[in-house]
Amino acid sequence: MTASLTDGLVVKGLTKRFGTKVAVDDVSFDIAPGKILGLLGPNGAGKTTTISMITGLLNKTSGSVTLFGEPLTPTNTAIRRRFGVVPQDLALFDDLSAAENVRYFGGLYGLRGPALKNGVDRALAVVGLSEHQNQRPATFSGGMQRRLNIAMALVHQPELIFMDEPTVGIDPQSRNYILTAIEKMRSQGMTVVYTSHYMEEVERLADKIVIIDHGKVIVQGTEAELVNLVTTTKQVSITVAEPKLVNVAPLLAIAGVQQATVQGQELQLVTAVESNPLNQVLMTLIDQGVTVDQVDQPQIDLETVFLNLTGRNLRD
Amino acid sequence: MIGTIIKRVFVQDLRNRSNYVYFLILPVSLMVILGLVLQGTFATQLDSKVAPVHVQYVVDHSQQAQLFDKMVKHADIAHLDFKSQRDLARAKHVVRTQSNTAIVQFGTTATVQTSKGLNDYQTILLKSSLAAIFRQMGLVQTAIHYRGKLATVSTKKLVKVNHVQAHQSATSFQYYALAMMGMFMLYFSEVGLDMFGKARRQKTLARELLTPVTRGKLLNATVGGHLLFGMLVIGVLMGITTGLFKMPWSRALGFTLINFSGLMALFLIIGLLMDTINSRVGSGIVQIVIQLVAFLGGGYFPTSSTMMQFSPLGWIMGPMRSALWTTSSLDWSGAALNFGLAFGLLILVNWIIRRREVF
Ligand SMILES: Nc1ncnc2c1ncn2[C@@H]1O[C@H](COP(=O)(O)OP(=O)(O)OP(=O)(O)O)[C@@H](O)[C@H]1O
Ligand SMILES: [Mg+2]
Repeated sequence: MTASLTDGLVVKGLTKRFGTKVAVDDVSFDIAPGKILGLLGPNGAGKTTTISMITGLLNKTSGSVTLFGEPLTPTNTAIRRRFGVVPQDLALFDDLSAAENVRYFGGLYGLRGPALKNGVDRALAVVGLSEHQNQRPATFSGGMQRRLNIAMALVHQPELIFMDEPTVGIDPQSRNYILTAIEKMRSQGMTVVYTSHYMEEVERLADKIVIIDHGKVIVQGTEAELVNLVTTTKQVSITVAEPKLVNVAPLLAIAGVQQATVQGQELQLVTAVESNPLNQVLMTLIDQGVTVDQVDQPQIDLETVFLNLTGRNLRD
Repeated sequence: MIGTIIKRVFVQDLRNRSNYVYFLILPVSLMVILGLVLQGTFATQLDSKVAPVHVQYVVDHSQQAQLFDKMVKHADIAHLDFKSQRDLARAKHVVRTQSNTAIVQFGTTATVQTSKGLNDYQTILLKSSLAAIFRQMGLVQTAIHYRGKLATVSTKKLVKVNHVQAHQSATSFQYYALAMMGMFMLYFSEVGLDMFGKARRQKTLARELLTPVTRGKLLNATVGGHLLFGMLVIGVLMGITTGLFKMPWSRALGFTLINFSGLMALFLIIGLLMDTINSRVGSGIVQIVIQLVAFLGGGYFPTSSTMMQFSPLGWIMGPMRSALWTTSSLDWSGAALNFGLAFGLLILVNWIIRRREVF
């Protein structure tokens, strides 16, 4: 994996200070080509600032960034042709039509003639705006404007694309359209850096997840790695009708069950994450003549991971 | 890429409705209103009531006669319309049968014959114009005889005579058309103020900076697009004022276009500079500058030449008036000054922008 990293993105010790405020604090991560990196964090975590530094819009206070194995300098225009950015805020010319907006940015990336025309047509098709290409963005719904915002970053067919909360504030249909489009991009070999504070999106898309809060990387890895990192055990609570009939000893004998206690109407179990002893537990209880009313097995998701690591909810 | 940016800016300017108000509706209606209100201040009442006199002139082949022929052809005297006529009998017939006509027969001596019923003003105009032409011929001949330095000296005198006698003073409409066009060039500072302000609000500026285009290119190409639009505005206003007020732009088309463009460029960049330094304070300062420059430069009413020295508008108003209504040689100093300042300020803006973290 490290070998192919030279063609991806490597961020080391990235830091940004605004006066005394440290917006991004020693952030390091990397992503291999053709993968999707999810940058997850609450409002003000430093996601946008991180992307702005990587893409050269803001100066770094310290740290280093290599894109495709090279640092980005103000004069290195060749690298700029290879990546694209979908900004968090809509960035559209409201007095140009959708196609004109896309074409203009194609022109800025040096596309001309048929290459430009093809680029514009393809970008608009990817986001499903071909039929509306001659309309101005003002006549668009919020979701369509978001899609145009994405198309403008696709026109030059970048190898790496940064998407800063591309689905914020839109209807589920448009959102699904966008997520599907991103999956399609990956299947075509594009590398994607995706920021969000919707964990469902990141869970669905990301090959690798970086969680940041207060400018710091809290944890990074695949979804499974993150869940395992938070806990090696699972809590299961079983509500029973006759708690007095429950005999704990045989339950503890089942492989994977680490703890079993009765509290009021509930039997609390702690089990190992890898094993799934629940079926055997239920059968044992039935043998003991216990009626099982309800089984609660809280899902461990990124929200829980985040809550566990920061003591806060992802979305405030 | 530069072409792409220039085109985008130009198209946006064309689609921006407020530009039509600022640079078309407002100036043209002010020209009409102020011209009407102040009619008579700049032209004599008499002047406007005179019917033109059609002067036919008959010349022989002497050197002097050829000179007369040349001078008359180049003379542009209000209310006098000179036409060469070879057939004397035919010319006489015209004078007998048509009113407002005259014959000038020019050989070793000159004879003037007029149709009946020429009014006093027409007669004086014809006589004084002919006298001026004859006087100039004397001077020019001297110059021809001696050549060299004398030619220059006599040309200056000619201008004076011509200016007084030729009677080409501007009408009130024309005076205001020129002044208003100059004044509305000052409002290009508003375009300059919002040149990147809108792009910042719309976030498109950041987006453009992510592309391979450098800051300098983006800055200068954007300025270029607005300049192109400004020149279109000048051209359109020239067309409209020619139609409405018979503005004699054609007498110095290139000269006036360049003079207006210089003023437009300067104010576009003054606006840009103010926005670059501080957009909030900048727009206030720009308003004050516009009013001051317009007032000193004679935008509202004629001002003294001393006052005009302190206004970029004044720098070009004098030279443009001379170019349009006298025959004196073109004075490029105002245009040069405006363009020079504009260029200097543009370099300053480039320098500031390059040093900043955020455009
Ligand atoms: N130009 C700036 N000057 C001062 N502080 C800034 C500036 N830009 C961002 N910050 C601060 O840096 C922190 C990180 O901001 P950033 O926009 O990167 O967060 P984010 O993770 O993108 O948040 P969101 O989800 O709301 O977009 C915030 O506290 C913000 O107030
Ligand atoms: Mg953000």
